[in-house]
This record gives sequence, C-alpha cells and structure tokens, in this order.
Amino acid sequence: MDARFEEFVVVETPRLLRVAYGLTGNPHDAWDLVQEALVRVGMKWRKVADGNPGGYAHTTLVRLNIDRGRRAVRERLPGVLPERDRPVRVDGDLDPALVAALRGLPPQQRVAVVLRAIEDLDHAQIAERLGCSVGTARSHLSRGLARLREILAEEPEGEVGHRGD
Amino acid sequence: MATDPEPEEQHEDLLDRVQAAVTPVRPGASAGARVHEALARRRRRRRVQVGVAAAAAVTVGAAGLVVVPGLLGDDAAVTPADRGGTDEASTAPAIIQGGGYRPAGFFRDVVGGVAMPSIVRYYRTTPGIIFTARFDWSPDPAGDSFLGDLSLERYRSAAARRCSRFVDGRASCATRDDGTVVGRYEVPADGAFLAPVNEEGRLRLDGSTGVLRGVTAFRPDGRAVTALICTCSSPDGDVLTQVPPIAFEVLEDVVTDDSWGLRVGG
Repeated sequence: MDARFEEFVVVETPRLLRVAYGLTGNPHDAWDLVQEALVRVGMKWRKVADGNPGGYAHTTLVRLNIDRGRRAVRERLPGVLPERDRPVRVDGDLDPALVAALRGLPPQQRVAVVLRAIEDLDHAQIAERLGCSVGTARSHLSRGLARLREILAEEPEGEVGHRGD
Repeated sequence: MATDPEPEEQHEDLLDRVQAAVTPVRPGASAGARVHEALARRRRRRRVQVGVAAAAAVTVGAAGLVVVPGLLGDDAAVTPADRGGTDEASTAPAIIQGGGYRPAGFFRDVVGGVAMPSIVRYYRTTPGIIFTARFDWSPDPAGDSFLGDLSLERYRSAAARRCSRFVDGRASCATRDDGTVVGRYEVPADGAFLAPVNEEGRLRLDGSTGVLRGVTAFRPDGRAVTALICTCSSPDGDVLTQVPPIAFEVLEDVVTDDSWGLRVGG
C-alpha cells in the first residue's frame, strides 16, 4: 500500500466523516460513504495523488450521497450495535433534532448547508462539489438554510426522532 | 438561479449548530484498516472481473460462507452465527443494505437493514424475456428474534411467522428439518413486486404480463433468500426498467423444481 495514501486516509477520514454524517444523519451510512469515497480515491491514487486527492474524495462523497438518495432506499436502523472495532466513534451527545431536520432538506440543499457549515466552502466551491453553477449553489444554500430553520421551528422540542445513533 | 437569496449571515447560528452536531463523530480505531481492506478487495475483484467478465460473479463457498457483492462494490462475508461456534468464527462485517453493505459487527447482532432486489441474469427468448432475481435482507429489526437467543427453535418460529406473513394466502410455507421455512408462490407479474420486509425492495415489471413464480427460504441463520423466475412479455419486448447491476448465484439449494427452467449460467 502506498504510504502517501495511508497518510491521506488518516488525515482526510475525520473531515470526510463529519461531512458524511451531516449528509446522511447516521454514523453507519456516513461510514459507508466515507469508505466508498476513499476506496475510489485509492483506485485512482496514481492519477490523483499529485493533484487534489482531498477535493476528489470530497466531491466523490457528495455525489455518492446524492446517488444514494436517488435510489430512495429507506432503512430502519436498529440502534446501537454491540460491535467491536467500530470504524466510527461517537464521543459526546448527538443533536438528533438538527440531524433529522437536515434529513428533511432536499439533497442538494442539504449538501450546500453541510459544506458551508462544516467545510466553510464558498459558493463556487460548493458549486464544484455539486457539479452546478455558482448561482444554483447560492440558491441551494440560501433556501436550505431557510428551510432548515423552518423545520426546526415546526418540530416541538424533543419530538424529532432519530434512529440508529 | 438564485432568487432573492437570504443573507447567510442571518443563519450563522444554524451553521454553528450543524458544525457542532457533527463533531462527536470521529473515526474509530479500525477505520484505516477497513479502508485498506476494502481497497484490497476492490482491486482483487477488479482483477477477477477483467479475467472472467462473462462469468457469474458470486460463489457460495464451503462451510456456509456466503460471499455477496454489495452494490457499492465491497464484498460482504457472512458466516452464520449458529454454525461458527466461537465469536471469532461468527464475526461478520456486513449485511446488504440497499446498494451497499453494513459493517455491523457480529452477525448475530445484525438486526437492521433491507436490500433491494438484484436481477440475477436475464436473457431473451421467444416470445418473451426470462430473468431470475434474488433478494437478501436482514431480519426484521422490529422483531424480537435476533438479539440474544439464537436457538434454532426461536429461529424456526420467527421464520414461520415471517413466511406466513409474506405469502399471505398466496401459497403455503413448509418447514424443513434444518429449520429453514420455505414458501413457494405465484403472483401476477403485471406491476411491481414487493419484497416482504418493510415493503422495501420493489421489482418493477412495467407493462409486462405473465406469472412471477418464486420461492423464499427463511433460513435458520436469520437470512431470507428469494429466487424468482418470471416468464413475461411486453409489447415492445423490453420488460426491465433497469439493466441488472450485479449478478447473484442461482440458488440451487432452494430452487429444486426443474420445470421452472432456472438454469445455472443462463
């Protein structure tokens, strides 16, 4: 295994995982996305290593998540699994109401909000990840934030369920 | 294009809250190893695919080890917990889940997830199209069957209940000596067929007519496997709404009726 790729995985995984969690709303799906994105980077490592492998990984992750949403698969998660050697740790309290509200956003809006909040990307960078125009990315972000606030305001405190964490 | 976007500064509190919401989630100790293992599997499979692109993709190995390729591309090795004898032997990293796999630890603790149907293979005949498909899914997470007691009797009871719910008067369920409950059924193929778990897994047969014949085995290891065969036709000769993305094995141990015409390597 290429030592640079190993280092890349160590460095990028936490960032990718945070974004993936914001997009998926549960650590299991988040890990699936991260692993798949990193595997795809690994498969093209020779080509992307000297470019921007981080950007490639993040773009891959975002688009994988959108594709995943298109398949419209609903899943009922069972709660905490007594798994040894988990690939994901949860150190602290999650915010189920916020996570559920994020999941209520259309996929592109969710991506825009998550990338701005977590990666602090500007409109042009969000547009690049989404494969859309800057104006469209700006619209997704603006509408997504407004909608997120609406959803949170609609949900009485403590009534937003979240399975699987 | 944007129309009257709201100033994002109004929502700084929300952005901060989103950022705070994701901070508890961090890579676990095995994260790096899992990526490297998955990459190694992908590379191995890529090499195999190049060599035998036309061959069936899945094998059922010795000692009950079932190797299932997930739709996202990673293999999932599942060893039934009641065959392994030790925790190590019963550890399994995966279960199929709607296009991916779930690294969910011990197989006996896998209680969630569903799977989309995957077309096994299909081939045109005159006058129609014949294909076979298979569903895999995990046990019903709402049930009481999985965590804790793994006894065969409990499985048998749960399997019988699930089978009965599934066939719902369209067929009967028979219990084998090994605890597997097998349901056989026929349904019209003029619409969508639903897998019997949480109403997930929709096999669309748009515009086609014919009979969909299937057999589902609810196995003692907690897995349920469905094999379907459909002799269908449609006016334009194009029945499937999507090209099968993956191949599964023909379930020789389940499908025993030669009259179905289910063929290995078809």
